Amino acid sequence: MFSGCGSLLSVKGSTMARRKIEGPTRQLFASVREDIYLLAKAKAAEKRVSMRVLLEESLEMYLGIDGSPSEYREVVEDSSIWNDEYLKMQSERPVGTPVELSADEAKKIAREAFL
Amino acid sequence: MHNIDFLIDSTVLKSYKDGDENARRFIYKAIDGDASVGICSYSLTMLWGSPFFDRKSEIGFTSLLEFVNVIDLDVESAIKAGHLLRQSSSVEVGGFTMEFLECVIVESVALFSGCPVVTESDVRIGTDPSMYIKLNDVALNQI
Repeated sequence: MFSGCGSLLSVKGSTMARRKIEGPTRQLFASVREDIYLLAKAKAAEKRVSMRVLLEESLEMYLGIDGSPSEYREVVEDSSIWNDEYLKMQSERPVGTPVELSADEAKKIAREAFL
Repeated sequence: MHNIDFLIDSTVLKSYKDGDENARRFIYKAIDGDASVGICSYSLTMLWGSPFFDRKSEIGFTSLLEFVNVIDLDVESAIKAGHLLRQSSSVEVGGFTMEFLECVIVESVALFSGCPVVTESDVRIGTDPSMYIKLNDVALNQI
């Protein structure tokens, strides 16, 4: 997940052919090097696809998964913090039960608890 | 005077829980130490008391409190909040909600902290509307 407040890598207004989006989506914001952005933009134009499709295909290749949304979901669910044995056990306890966490655990949970 | 850049209320953390992108961007700044963010202890009461609250919410918010400064209501802020409450029209028309009480307390604490309030709420108590910043504005522009 990228976060930042620099330039917005936007796919709005694209006139390229659109691939239908299946399943839930997330917005991605990132400041990227201009030369990479321009090369990607040119490649997307050459392939006549949107920047969104180009980014999705690039991320699929990087992650080594095919394009089916169910596989995405499996990857996401497997990496959920709530699959951690300790957190799973903690989450089944009643509200109000004390939770002891290291600084690293707290940071990870604070970032990912509500993804 | 508290050493914080922004004071948030419970609406910001509710949006964060709901996956709002602006809330996420803003809260990540607090987690990463790029912005000093405070929250009133009364806002925690609002969060812990809300109907959506469950064990996972508790673990998530408890973790988040490691990166957010919790500000207790001191005597000066409590008295100021009382003045704001008494002067508000909500009291005249017969009572006020917990949400309104939170707004009064948050504004009072923000006045003494010398920092703006970041909120998703549209309620403005009245002393200085410019002290309020909507979440999407602060997430994109101010830090």
